[in-house]
Amino acid sequence: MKPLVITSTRTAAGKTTVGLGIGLNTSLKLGYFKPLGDHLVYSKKHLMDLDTIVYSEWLGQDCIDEECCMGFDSQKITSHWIPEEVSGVLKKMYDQCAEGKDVVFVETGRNFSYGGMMGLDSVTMCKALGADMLLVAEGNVDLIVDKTLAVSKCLENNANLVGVVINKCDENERVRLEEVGIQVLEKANIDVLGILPRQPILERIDVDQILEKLSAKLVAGSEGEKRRVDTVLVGALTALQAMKMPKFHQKNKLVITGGDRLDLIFASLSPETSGILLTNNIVPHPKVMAKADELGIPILSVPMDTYTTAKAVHKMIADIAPSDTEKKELIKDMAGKELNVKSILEG
Amino acid sequence: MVVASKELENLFNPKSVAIIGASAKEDSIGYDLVHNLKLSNYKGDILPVNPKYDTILGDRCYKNVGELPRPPDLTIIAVRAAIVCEAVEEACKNGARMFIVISSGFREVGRLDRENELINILKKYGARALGPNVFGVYSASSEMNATFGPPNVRPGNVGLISQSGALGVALMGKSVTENIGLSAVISIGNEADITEREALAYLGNDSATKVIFIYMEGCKDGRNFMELATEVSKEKPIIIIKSGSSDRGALAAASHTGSLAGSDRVFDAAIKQAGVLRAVSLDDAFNWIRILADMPLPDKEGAIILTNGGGVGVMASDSAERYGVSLLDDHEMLERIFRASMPEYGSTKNPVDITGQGRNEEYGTALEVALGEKNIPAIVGLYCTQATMDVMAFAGTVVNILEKWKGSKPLAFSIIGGSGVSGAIKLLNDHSIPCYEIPDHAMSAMGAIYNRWRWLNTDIGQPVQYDFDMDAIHEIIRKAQQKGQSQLVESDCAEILRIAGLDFPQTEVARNLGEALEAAERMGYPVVLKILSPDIVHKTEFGGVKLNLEDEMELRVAHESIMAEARRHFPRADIQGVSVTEMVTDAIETIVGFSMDASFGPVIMFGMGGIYVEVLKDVAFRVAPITRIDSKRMVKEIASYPILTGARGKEIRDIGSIVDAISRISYLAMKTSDILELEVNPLMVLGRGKGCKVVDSRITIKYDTKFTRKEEVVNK
Repeated sequence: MKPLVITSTRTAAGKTTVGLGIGLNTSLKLGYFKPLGDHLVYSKKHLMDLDTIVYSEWLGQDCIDEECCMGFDSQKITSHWIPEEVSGVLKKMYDQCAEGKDVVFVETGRNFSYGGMMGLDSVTMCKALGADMLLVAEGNVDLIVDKTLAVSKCLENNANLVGVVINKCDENERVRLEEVGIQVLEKANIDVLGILPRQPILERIDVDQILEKLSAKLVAGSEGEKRRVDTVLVGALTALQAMKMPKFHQKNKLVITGGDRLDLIFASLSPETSGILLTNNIVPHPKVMAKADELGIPILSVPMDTYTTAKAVHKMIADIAPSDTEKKELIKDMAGKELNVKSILEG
Repeated sequence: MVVASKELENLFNPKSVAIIGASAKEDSIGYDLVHNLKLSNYKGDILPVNPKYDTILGDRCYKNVGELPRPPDLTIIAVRAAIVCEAVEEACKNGARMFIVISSGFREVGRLDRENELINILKKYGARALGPNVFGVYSASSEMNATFGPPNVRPGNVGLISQSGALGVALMGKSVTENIGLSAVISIGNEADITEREALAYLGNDSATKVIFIYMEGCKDGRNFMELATEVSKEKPIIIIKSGSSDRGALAAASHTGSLAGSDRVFDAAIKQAGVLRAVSLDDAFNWIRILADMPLPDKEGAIILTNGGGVGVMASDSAERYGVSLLDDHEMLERIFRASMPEYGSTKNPVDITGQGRNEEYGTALEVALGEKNIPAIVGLYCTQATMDVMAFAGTVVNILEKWKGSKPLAFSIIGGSGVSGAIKLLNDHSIPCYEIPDHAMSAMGAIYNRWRWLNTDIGQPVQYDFDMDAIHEIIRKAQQKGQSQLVESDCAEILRIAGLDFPQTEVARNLGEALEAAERMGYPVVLKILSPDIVHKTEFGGVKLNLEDEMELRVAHESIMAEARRHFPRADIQGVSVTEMVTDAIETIVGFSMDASFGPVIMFGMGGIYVEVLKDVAFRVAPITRIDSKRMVKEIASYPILTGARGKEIRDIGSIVDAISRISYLAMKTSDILELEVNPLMVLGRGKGCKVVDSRITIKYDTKFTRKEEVVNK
């Protein structure tokens, strides 16, 4: 079976979700290869890609090879190999990974065009490996159709686009997609192989992820690291005024405020709060931390100012943690219902 | 000695006082002012001004200032805010030049315009004013109570300056109940013209004032205040109560030094350097005033506790440790001099305990022995009342004895027990013998007097003058400013600190992986890799620092990780490469730096690194410049100091090199105003004789508006 390059119209469109969804709904022996890492985990002086770890955890260690990533940084790749070598190295690593597998998913970095400078963009990889391509698209209907058509036109005879999977589709968009969008794509001979609905659970971040992504320090409430975050509140008002806002009383909220805002920190220490993210490296009074420990509400500290921190949290994309069984079951169920797995795998 | 402005003479010792807004209504401020002036036996002319009255409290009331027989030395304004400026200008036209503006309704309620108008009028006529928003002035030397506070102030030798009107009045009242005499009271209010510093300078010069007590809420010009307080403290003790914490916020706290220094701890450190005693409660303040106003300073360390109760003796010993009073431990000498006056079961150890068997006579004898012994510099006397003993007789005995030994050495008493105690305590205090209800208060007072004695008797020397190439440092800063930087890149930080004489582990800059590998080969593994970018301040937090890389493979992986993380977190950052540094092992992390405090200028900080600074905030502060002795004290002051001295059998650290580093950074702080914050974190301290090395540093410079700042790229 031909390898399948999974790429997307834009970053964080859901390549890993779609790949895992297919993998969880097939009995074929699957391999996973991600030449260009973009989800770096540095641990014990080793580098790994988080997606690789999730594949290994959910689909079995056999699906990945020890050498399943060429690198994370363009400078490293361009200085390590001359451009002419890259294709050969890619092929060699792929061959190792494909040994004994029925099919191998080759996931690209970020999006359709990413990696061109290193000879590792999706089209070049398809050509080098003789692979088919599966496109994951996300956004509003116009964006999905525009970008998918653009990708298709770019491919010409360089690769076979097996089809497109539309991810994170909102209810209202779905109607227009089915009435208009799919027709346009089908006219261009592009198969729509599944429409996955938007799932808030998959977009949910938790305190642990914030801790990791912001390299924050956990100063109190270590028991609450796994608390989910549904909404974010930037604590600029006084505690008295903030408490008058309905948002302040929402469940699963993350409060971002300066470490010196004792009034607001104290007011936020309630079961509705998932975590408190303190800025400017100011650690509050030990009494506050003791209270947070008692309630199991994590308090995180970062050196950045409040605006920068809020921006970073806003931009944060939810990870799929290897241990998140709730997400695993959801992806499996959703993909089983909504994806045309057979067509995807048979090209 | 401090030079005080002669202009204030008319504020404290006027020959005539006009009260504009004087009133005959008993519940008004205008009435209280006239009433207090008359009641305080003021000998000068009292000149009430109010068109509504012909007389007030028997004195002629003038219709307007134009009617006054001559320009008054002091004019008190007690009219509504809207007509204050008009009243002041009218008085100025008639020759008045010194004012107390009692009225409120100025800057404190947002009417800066009104306050500025007042200032302009004063400037126009060369006049001075206290206030607005004050309760007035009391002066014992002219028997003048020009306040609307308590009328029955007891004259004495304590000068009171208050930033709070209400609390100031309350403090005057408390001085009456505490039986403490006042030499002067000044309410500072909005400080539109006459400042707290001028008031302090005046009281510093005032021969009637022996102790100065300040209630402070904020310190606007900390450095000047500190310099003046240092001078005044050399002559007389200053006690401060300060509420609230300093509000800086002018500087973005990019480093630990900045954020930690923003606390009240800077103020605390500054006034300690100035020899000022900071009380945390009014009780402490009045307890200290009592002893400092009436007792001489000791001439050496080593107080004794004289008691007739073992329990209170032990309690006082605990308090002595808490307040830094060292107790005399020459037991042979104590046995020799006290044995004769001891009852059978008495103890001559310190506390010297005559026990409950001892009668007043024996207590008195022991007290006289202690007073007569030149090797006993200070005495804390404790007395537990007992059914068989007459506490008033005891107090009388003490008074009689101390008549003979007046001024010989400092004493503080505490009388504990039932009825009759308050009378005995009052009797002693009436005779200027500090006496308290609780032993802890007596020891706290003794601690205050010892703190003052130590400050006066320790020569901390002069700050070391180094020969840094300041031109080279300014050139580095200037170039960074030209590039629009507010944070120096690591290599610039290192260069400045090298010029300042601090030591570094071997470091090389590598623009790419190949150069990093070559550098590591040259210096030998293990090494540390750090991102080099002016746009990335918190390198560690974003995975920009990789430690203890032991071979080529580890370095390759670390380099890739650093670059990938940097590009992910800071896609628009100017990444110049990495620095490769020899890994410093077997060292203890400390932090040293300075930040520019809005009120006090450069403030030096030292502490243990890592968790000690971030969570425990185990740091010491000093206002620069500091001497080597100050630096040494900073090191000793932190709670984790024993870690540096080899606690639990660990290696003793090179404390001398820390002291040197602090001293050099203090000098640097004083030599440039372009550095807003500097932090060496960590400064790795090696074993004794091996020095200390700068492993990471951060310098925030003043942004120069001459240069266009490039777009902020951090975290984008």
